[in-house]
Amino acid sequence: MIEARNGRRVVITGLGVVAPCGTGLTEFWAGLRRPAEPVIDRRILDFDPARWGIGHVEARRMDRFAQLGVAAAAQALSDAGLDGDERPYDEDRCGIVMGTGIGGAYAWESQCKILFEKGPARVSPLVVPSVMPNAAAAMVSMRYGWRGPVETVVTACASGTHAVSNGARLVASGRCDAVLVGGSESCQTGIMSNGFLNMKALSGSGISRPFDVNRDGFCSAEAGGLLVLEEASAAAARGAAVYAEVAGSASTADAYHITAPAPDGRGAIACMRAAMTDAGLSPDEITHVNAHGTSTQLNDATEAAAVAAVFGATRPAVTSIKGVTGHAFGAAGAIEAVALALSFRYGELPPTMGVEHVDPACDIDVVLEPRPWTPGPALSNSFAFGGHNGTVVLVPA
Amino acid sequence: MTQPVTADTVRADAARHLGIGKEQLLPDVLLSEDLGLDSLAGIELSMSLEERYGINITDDELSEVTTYGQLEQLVLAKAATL
Repeated sequence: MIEARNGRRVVITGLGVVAPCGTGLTEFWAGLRRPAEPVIDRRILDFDPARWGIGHVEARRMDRFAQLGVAAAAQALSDAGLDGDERPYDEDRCGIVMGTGIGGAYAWESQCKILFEKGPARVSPLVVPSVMPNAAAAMVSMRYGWRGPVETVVTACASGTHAVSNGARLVASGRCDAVLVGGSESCQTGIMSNGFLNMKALSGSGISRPFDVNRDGFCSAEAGGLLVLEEASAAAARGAAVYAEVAGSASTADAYHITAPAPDGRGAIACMRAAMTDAGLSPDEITHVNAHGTSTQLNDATEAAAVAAVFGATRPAVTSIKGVTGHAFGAAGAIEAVALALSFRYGELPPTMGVEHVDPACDIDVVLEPRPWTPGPALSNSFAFGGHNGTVVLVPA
Repeated sequence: MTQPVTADTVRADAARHLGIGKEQLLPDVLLSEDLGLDSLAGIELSMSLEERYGINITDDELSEVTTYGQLEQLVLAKAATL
């Protein structure tokens, strides 16, 4: 970002979130500080599409991940004060970058059943627009008339973080004045859940406990998280409240294995270092890392080693909200960016819930209780199947 | 055929599918302008009625339909030939 900036700074002015631990910023933040029930499959039990203006016919052409995206977008635009009749920006210069790992898993699976049981003539004409991963971003653009770049990033569990990064660059480069960035995911179908189960990635206990010595896999989750990013001087001119500045980001790949992280954490290390360089920061200036921290043996060991290698004796405070939220795949980086922005707002780091005994092999400072924090430069990490790594750097505005 | 077909059952099924009240499905109501159905939603509605009543509506037949009343008549005519 730093090389493309041309004096343009990117700030966060709106947040929206739907997650199993809470919908809306107040509920979500409270949820992050409350131990989660031991549930392998974490869902938003009270999600009501009608609350977000999604009607009966419209809901049938929006798979659940798209509905969650629309709900998060409505909140984020309202929070930023951009949902009213007054339009401070030319819609041709307003963009959307959303991530998802899978897309419309429910339509895909239910229509397969119809194909096999009832035949090809009964396959819904809406299956293609429901399944396609870009549906959420497309639906949001239609709702608000945003006509700039509207794109979807699909990099598994790094999708949300890469979406924040790519959207920030649209603002930094001068292409956009405002962007909605983040992601949504809902893919807890029979096929996907049993696929995760059979690859031994899912927790057997239903306890998500990142960096705990007894961690036994992730708990799957559905969620949506979106952030409004604006060019700083324009945001200030219209009197927008700012959570934090997006100062840099990076994307790297392990080029190693389709699901396992590179054992030396080289991709994660390279990503964190590149993000700090992008932001013009050195490792000793970073005070906090919002970790990917999935609660799997491999991810947490590799990430802890990578953080230790990058920061050495500085030991920034590390938290993983997945102890509460579970792993929302392509939405994970998005809701974690929302959580990090809220840490800037509230001056507090949410705890890594579920942890009883930090793995002695994880030589990092794991935040176990809500911790007061003086906002400073902080990273949010995502590391994905496929070996995709993403890091964003937030700093006080 | 899965159930007796009358104008009332067709209207009830269509209303349920669309998530609206039966009273909105007047004969002259326009599927696109009044109910906001685009072509995909029209096909989906037609398919749900086809499945419900075990009938087959062709693309050409559906393309002639603009009002709810025309759709209802088409479904009743098709069901009567079963």
